Amino acid sequence: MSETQPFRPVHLVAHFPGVNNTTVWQDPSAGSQIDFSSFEHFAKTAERGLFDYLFLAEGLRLREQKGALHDLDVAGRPHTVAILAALAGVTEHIGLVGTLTATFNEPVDLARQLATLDALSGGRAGWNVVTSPDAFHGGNFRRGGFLPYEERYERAAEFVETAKRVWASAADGERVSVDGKHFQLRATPNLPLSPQGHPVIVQAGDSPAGRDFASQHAEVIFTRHGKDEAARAFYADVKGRLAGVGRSEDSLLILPGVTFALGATQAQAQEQADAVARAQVSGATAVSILEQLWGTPLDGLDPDGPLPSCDPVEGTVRFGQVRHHKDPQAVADAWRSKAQREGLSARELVISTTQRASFIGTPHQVALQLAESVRDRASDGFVVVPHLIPTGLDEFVDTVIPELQDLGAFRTEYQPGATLRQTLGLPQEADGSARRPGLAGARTEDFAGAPA
Amino acid sequence: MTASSLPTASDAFDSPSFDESPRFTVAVSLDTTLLGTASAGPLGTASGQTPLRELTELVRAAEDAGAVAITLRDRLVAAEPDRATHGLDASIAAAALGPLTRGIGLIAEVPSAVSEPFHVATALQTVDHASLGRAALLLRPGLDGAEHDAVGRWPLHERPRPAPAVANQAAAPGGPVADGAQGTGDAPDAVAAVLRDADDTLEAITRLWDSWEADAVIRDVASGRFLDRERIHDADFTGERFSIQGASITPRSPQGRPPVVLRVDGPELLPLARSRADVVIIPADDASLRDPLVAGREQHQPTPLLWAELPLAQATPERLAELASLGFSGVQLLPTAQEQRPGTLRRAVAALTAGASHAASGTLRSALGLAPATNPHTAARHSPASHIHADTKEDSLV
Repeated sequence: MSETQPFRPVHLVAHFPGVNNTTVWQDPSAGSQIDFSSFEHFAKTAERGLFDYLFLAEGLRLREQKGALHDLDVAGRPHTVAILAALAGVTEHIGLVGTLTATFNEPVDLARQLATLDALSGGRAGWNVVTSPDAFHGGNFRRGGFLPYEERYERAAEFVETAKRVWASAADGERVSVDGKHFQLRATPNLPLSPQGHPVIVQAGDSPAGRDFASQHAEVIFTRHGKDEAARAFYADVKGRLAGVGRSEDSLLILPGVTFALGATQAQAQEQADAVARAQVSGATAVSILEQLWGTPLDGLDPDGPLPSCDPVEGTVRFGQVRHHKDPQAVADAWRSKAQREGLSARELVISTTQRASFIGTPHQVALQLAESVRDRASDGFVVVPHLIPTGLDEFVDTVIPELQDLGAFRTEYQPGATLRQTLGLPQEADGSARRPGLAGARTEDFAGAPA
Repeated sequence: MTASSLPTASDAFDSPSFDESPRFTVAVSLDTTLLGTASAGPLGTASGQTPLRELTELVRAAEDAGAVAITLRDRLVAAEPDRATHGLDASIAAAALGPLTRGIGLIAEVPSAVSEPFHVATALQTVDHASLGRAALLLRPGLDGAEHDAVGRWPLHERPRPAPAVANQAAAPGGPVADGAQGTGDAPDAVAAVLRDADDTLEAITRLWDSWEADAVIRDVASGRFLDRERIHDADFTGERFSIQGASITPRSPQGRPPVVLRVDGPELLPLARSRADVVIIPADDASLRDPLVAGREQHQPTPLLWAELPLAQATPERLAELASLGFSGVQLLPTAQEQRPGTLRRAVAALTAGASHAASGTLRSALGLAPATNPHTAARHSPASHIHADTKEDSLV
């Protein structure tokens, strides 16, 4: 390796496996999705691997398909802020970031909960701001599906601005008074001071409204655009917007969600990737995925037989999960020709269209791909999504992290006492956040490139 | 036992065990605004304590000395409109304490009417998971006008709003309720509405807690099913002002139903306490509240456990013996700001428990002598005639 280090520092996020068929529960080593011990193992493994933060999705309602609970995938999750708080005491350095809706919360209440997490964790909290305006989720909340779809980001922006005022009020003691369109409130603050000014703001929406929101408020974007050309285009587009809103390029990190498969050789890793893809699509799951595309129940469809002979119809069979095919007929036609051409059963077809792991190879190969992808500005790092609870990160931490460190592309230790914003190398906010003495200006670069 | 003689929400389909004179227990009420939460320095407080370490030391002191539980008090906003404070969200702080303590109950105060029942239910379930069965909910009927102002709704979206032009004083945007912490004053309709909302909130929360049967996760590889959807039940609750349709997102927690605690400081709260609480806390000297509650117990009517709240300095072994003879089954100590320190708490509690730990090796329910919570859905599968959602409480409030 030459003296000039070609790699930029890679940021890594540990995504607790979610409630979709990416998470393989059939594996003999799969553990409880809800026991605290599972979360503790996962968080401690991520911290052992020096990850920037642990990331949790949020559940507001159990998913339904064909009018009944969807029973094929892992289901059941904790309260997002509460479980992160429980992890605060059993970890020391890793960030704790949760997904929380701006639709079915109130700003003073949620800002207090996040400030409590931030104070108890020593400034390690983050908030992935999402919206959830549909009536299905609204059925579990006082106001029901009260919010018009087109107002979802308007409310989210007003929510975040209000929350920032509540956080600031903890420092200045000022009474918060808001007369907005979505919030009219008065509150004398009763919340702890945030060690990092306020929790780090993450955003995950991909719509134009979501990107606008991100350019205004987000410090991290969690995206689906994982690698290669599409990712570089997204990266350039989003970073290019920042100057227009008076922000520097390094004030926003772009972190795509990615999966991985490892092996002692490239061939073994490929076998592992194929095995996981098969495990992710049981016969029943294949039928359920086809039902979503076809927009109608396909009861009695043999997953080991051919694809349905009927054509897709307009309809939604699953609630509680975003999944779009813009043109179901075209997709169905393409799937049929592929199945016919390659002689695939319905299940085999679904397995073949299931996205394989984003990064497949030996630990060294995967580390190199990750580092190159960041160097080539396809992203600033990755949200790593394992397929097993709670051990899905173990092998990655044991084998890929040392390789990344050898490349000089990943930290070799945490900065003691750093806030999450400092661990991420984000600038302190204009409003004076990240006011910890002695650590101001600490940047990720400080610990990237250190000799392993 | 039939559904018509259910003792409380927490003991549906099960006989109460606490009428066998439970042990006398000691709990401690904590004020998190006294922690070093006003400092943003890297080490938290001037003494080098982080808020979590400071809180944990307090709670462990109470735990080591034999307290059965701590209560984390909570307010959405400061108690005085012109003085900011730095209190923690109680449910979130209780969750953080779960893995850091071993046997003490963690009672989190939550204001009703300004909280989402779904979030409260899942937060307490999560505290219960993280503490392996030591969570409890202290629901405070949300009668505080300042808290309603913080969500801009009174009561619950129906507060009459003046035109914007006149809403320009220090007063809240709602007009009829005075600004600040004075509460509802003499607005009886609003009080009744909030009490009904608290009742609905507890019903909704109870149904959410029961929505997953304990064996709902089946992991049946042959059929590809992770869940048995027959063992997960919608809350299907319609109250006066809100409805909750679906099941909890969180699987059944170790206690199933964490104990429900109500603090009663006026007679208007007695019906709610009788029908919904597992534990009722009243001021130690208030005979007007004590007598009706104790009378129910003596007549073997279903009655919650009764705790006396008193200043820590007044709690002597003699005083506790007297309170026990009056029908109390526990005390909740209120330390002053000066007394809310680990050493002081440890000594005070140990003097009352005589070293005998009241903390649980199992769940908080068992430490309190409450029967394990039975899931009515599970019970109904064994006795199909039962009515599951014919209201899980005993008597009507109104």
